[in-house]
Amino acid sequence: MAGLATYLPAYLIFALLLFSFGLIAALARRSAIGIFMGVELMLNGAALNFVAFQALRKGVIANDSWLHGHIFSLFIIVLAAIEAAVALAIVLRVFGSRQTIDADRADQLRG
Amino acid sequence: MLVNLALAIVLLPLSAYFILTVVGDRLPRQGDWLSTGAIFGSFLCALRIFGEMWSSFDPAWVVQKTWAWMDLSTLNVPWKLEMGVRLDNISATMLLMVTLCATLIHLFSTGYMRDHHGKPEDGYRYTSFFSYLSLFTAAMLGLVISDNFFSLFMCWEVMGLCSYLLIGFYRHKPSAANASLKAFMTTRVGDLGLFLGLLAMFAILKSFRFDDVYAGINSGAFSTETIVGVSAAFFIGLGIFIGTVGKSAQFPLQIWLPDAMEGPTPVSALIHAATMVSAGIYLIIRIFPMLEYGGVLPIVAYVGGFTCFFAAILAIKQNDIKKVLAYSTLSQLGYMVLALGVGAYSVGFFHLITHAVFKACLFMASGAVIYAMHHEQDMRHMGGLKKKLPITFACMLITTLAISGVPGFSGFASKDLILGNVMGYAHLHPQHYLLVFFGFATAAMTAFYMFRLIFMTFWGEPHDHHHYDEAHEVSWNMWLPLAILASLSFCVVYTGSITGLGFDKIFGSANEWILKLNPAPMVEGAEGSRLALEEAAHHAHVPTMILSIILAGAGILFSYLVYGSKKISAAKLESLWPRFVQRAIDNLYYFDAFYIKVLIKKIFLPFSDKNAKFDDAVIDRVMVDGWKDATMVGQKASGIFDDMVIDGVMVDGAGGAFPTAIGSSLRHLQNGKVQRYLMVAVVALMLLFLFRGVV
Amino acid sequence: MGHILSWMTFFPILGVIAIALTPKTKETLIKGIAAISTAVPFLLSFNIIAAFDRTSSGIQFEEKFSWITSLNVNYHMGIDGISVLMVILTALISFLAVFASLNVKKMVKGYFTMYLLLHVGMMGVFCALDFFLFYVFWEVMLLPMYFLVGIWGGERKEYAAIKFFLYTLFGGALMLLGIIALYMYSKGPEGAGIPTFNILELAGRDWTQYTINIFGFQLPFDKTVWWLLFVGFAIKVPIFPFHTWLPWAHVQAPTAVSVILAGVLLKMGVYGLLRVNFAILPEATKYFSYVMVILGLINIIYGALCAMAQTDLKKLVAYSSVSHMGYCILGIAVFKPDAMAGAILQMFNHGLSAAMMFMLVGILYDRLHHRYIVTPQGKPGFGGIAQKAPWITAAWTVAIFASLGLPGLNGFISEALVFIGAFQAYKTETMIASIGVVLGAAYLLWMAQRVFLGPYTTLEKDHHSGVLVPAEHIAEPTLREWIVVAPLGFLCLAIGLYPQPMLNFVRETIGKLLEVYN
Repeated sequence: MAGLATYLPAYLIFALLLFSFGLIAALARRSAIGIFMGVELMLNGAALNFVAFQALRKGVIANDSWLHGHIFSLFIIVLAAIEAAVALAIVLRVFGSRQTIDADRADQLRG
Repeated sequence: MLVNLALAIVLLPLSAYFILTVVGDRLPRQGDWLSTGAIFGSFLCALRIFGEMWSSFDPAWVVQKTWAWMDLSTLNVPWKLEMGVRLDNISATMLLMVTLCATLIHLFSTGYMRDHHGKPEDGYRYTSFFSYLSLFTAAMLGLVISDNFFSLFMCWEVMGLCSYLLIGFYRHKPSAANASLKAFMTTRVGDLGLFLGLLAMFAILKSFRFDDVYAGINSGAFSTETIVGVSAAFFIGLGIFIGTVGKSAQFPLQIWLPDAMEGPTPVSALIHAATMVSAGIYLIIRIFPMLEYGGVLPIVAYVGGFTCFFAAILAIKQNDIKKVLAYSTLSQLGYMVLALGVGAYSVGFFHLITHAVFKACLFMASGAVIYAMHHEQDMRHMGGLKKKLPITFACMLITTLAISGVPGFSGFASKDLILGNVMGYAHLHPQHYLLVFFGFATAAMTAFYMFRLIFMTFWGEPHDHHHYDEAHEVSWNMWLPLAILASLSFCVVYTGSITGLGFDKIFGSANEWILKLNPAPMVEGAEGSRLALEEAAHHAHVPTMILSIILAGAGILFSYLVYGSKKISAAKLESLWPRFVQRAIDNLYYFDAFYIKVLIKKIFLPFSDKNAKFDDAVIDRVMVDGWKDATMVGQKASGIFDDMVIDGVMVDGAGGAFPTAIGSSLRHLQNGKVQRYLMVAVVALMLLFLFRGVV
Repeated sequence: MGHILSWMTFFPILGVIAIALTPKTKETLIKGIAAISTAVPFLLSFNIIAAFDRTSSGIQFEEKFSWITSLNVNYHMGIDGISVLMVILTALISFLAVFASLNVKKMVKGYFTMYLLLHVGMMGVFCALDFFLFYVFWEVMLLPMYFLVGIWGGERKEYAAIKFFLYTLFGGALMLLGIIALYMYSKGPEGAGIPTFNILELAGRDWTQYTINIFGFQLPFDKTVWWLLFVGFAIKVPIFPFHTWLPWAHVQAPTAVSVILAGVLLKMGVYGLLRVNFAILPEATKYFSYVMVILGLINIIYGALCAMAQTDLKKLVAYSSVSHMGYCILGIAVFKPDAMAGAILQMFNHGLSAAMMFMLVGILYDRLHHRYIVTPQGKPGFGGIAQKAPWITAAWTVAIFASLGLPGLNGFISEALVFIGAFQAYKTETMIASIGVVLGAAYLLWMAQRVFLGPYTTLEKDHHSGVLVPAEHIAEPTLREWIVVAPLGFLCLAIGLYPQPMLNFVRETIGKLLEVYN
């Protein structure tokens, strides 16, 4: 089981990549859908981190009842699903009212 | 058994009421037979009860039964309010009188109210009329069989409701609506007194039962208590007497009864002559020991004396046939109250019974006249009707003789006894001689105005030929009741004496059965004064009798001279009265004016208006909505402070420039672009990490 | 059947869900759901009538679960002799008022959702025995009421709704302060115990030993808290001078909501006083009893005088409620079993007769579209209705006479009991209060005279122009309207003739409640 400890950096780097690509997408894409996809990537990157560390802990401590990592990743999955539903609904409404999904155009709240 | 009969007496008309209310208009003849039949059934039961009473012929005869009605007892605190039936000589006699009058009046109504029969577009008023009559009768009978003041009060109020509904029967007439409201409100004021008296009674005794009250008086339960500064017995007695003043239309709450003549004539006969108004007298009879014990009797006597005298004066000047009878009712009720006030208990009850019979007949006879004359009520338009309405005339004449106190008729016997007792009372208490004057003057006036009615209506030439020609004797269901009641207006029925003078008694031991059977309940310490009164009345009896016969004869003779043979001009006679007296009489002594124009319109209504305005303007607008204004003011004040001090001095002044600059530069950050915000967040997060790293 | 109180309280929630899932165009279905969701608590109330133990003074049908453990908050329901009548009344009036609302045209779905939520709140208030729960229900009831008045009300509905809302919220805030104070001090003198919201447990404590520091003044704890709670409840009763929301809310509310307001909501105030002030703080209640007597007195006379001067039919009835609730206050403030029974019965009776009267006002309004006894131009707005609509008049007559206390109808029983009890304690005050009986007859019968008797002068408001024109025709009540009016009238008569079944419910509980006072 010590193998996981060895491969941990790989998981972490993969998660980092997921997160970074997600962040870039979220910051740079103009389309609201793109931003939203970026956010999804970020969430999944974070979830991967949780699972990885949980697995590591499982390997180190025997008969461990600690489940926070799994629970949090489950949380994130559920949250992502809900967020998808809500975000897509918002996108649809925005499109309905402005005939575009360009995020820069939805700037009614500017100061 | 008797108790069940008594309950049946009440329940028969009560169920008739409910049936008529729900399905009355679908019954054949709109259900008048149901109502009449029910009350006739009650009459038969009452007859049976009366027979039972008669066969025992015992002053102490009584049958009672009680049931718990409200029970709030818990383990340690008993609290019960009972309902019960009490049959004694008084209630048995009353039951017979009420059911008899009511039966006959129902019968009479089937004729009198014919015009309303079978008219759905009229709102089935014929049915309603009979249903109201039934409810009224049930309440009156319930009052009579009550063994306690609480159920008596309840029935009393229900009678008030029926009276309200029946006075306002012709509901399209504003005058009827006014009269019904006036009647209900005036009696309600009296009822308030009654109710307070009952509250005090319960507070002391924890019971409303007659027996408990009498026992309480004898055991001294009322001797120490005081209520608002007067003795408890006085408070209770006076309060309950005020109830009577309202219901029996005594001075100063008499104003409603004349107006109550707006109702259909059978109603006037039943409610405002025979039964409901005598319920007030019945109440005094039941509470008599308390009045005696609490020293209320002199007040009672003077109220009665005033009423009988002043109402008789008003009766002289009325031209509306029903109004004459209304004021004569007031006056006769005054007699009863006077009798009870001087302490003549059984005599007052005697007059109650005889008066109910002859006054019911008088009212129905006047109804027959009105019906025959196509609802003409003004006596000046009548005249010469004795040929057209022979039976009605005969009955009316007999009952008029009775009310005038002519020997041989029932009114003579009872009135004569009242006058004798008043005289005796005045002998014992010489300061009260005014009462004697009231009594005798009223006797003369009664004979005068009643015969004035007879002469104006039946004598002489017809004044309105159109109505006169069409007039004809009424149908059997209208004259039969008159005949029965008239036949009961003879003295012999009540005293066993054919002339009423006392020397020709034929009933043997049952002579003067009303007096013998109904002695006043015993009150400790009252025997002396009662015996003294009896003695004095006995001595005063013969002179009184002679004087009253003379006065009645004089009244009749004078009436004949003025209205029969017209030897004396009525107009001239009238001009003899001083102007201010005439005006006072025309305005009914200004009572109505005072109550309605001053008390209600000048004081009460404006006050309630002011009160409502106060509620709206002060409580609501100022105290409640005022908070809104207060906050607005506060808001403005703090706004000014903000402008002047915070903004003007601290912001725009010394340290003003700097924040303004920051504000306007930061403003550009808020450009509404979500990705910019996200960028800021990421950068900030990174800075945070860096910062932590440094630390 | 277990958990009957929870079923009665929360069954309408199922109705809310069902209505939420129904398309808003299917109005008949929505109305049907509302009728069923109120019918079930109504039918369950018969079970309560049957199973309620009249010989016990304790809490019955009790349910208790831990709800928020950390704060020691429990879901605690139960009824005793005081609340059982109110629960029955709530179930009855809410069921009948659905029929009164069947003619709602605007936003039917929203209306009945709010209506059922209101039902939950009202029923919950009468069943809750945990202060926290009580407060939650109290506030739950507030919001639907705000919308019912504010959306479906009359001309000035927004003003009336916000007034009602602010008043009640203000009262609720004071009440919350009182509740929290009791909760904090329930830890005991050393502050070592577990604090509790349990109303029954709080009732046994000695609160006179504490003082409370407010703005540097050392005030006796129980009296201070008593006032906080009293004002909270007094607004609901309403007691003078907190009554001015009532005419507005009653007048502007739609018919069914007026029926509920008068029939149920006003009773919460008196119920709260009995359940909280009387049971928990007996010493302070005794201390301030005379204040309550005087306030009751003012309510009776002042309300009657205000009613006398009204020219709006509904406002007149609303002020008559103020007057009638005064009898309740007078009755509870004298600590006599008869007066107390009278006051509780008066709550029930007024619930019947006032509900009936508001329904009847609604019946006239539906036909004539105005409520002016006297129009702003000074002409009679009604008159002679008896000739055209004898059955409407008959129903009104029952309501009027029940309300003015005619023996044989229910109002008399309760008023008489109140007076019988009150007279034993305060003679002069009771004598003054009894003038209210005469005034009550005066304003009601004067109104009856102007509306129903005399020549036919009734006007109606024209749909299009809004001008008052003579009304040619007044339709008699429909079956739907009879369903509301007839049971109420029947109950008025039944209770008036034989009140003992009602007294059996309350007798033992009153005995226990008053043990502390005598």
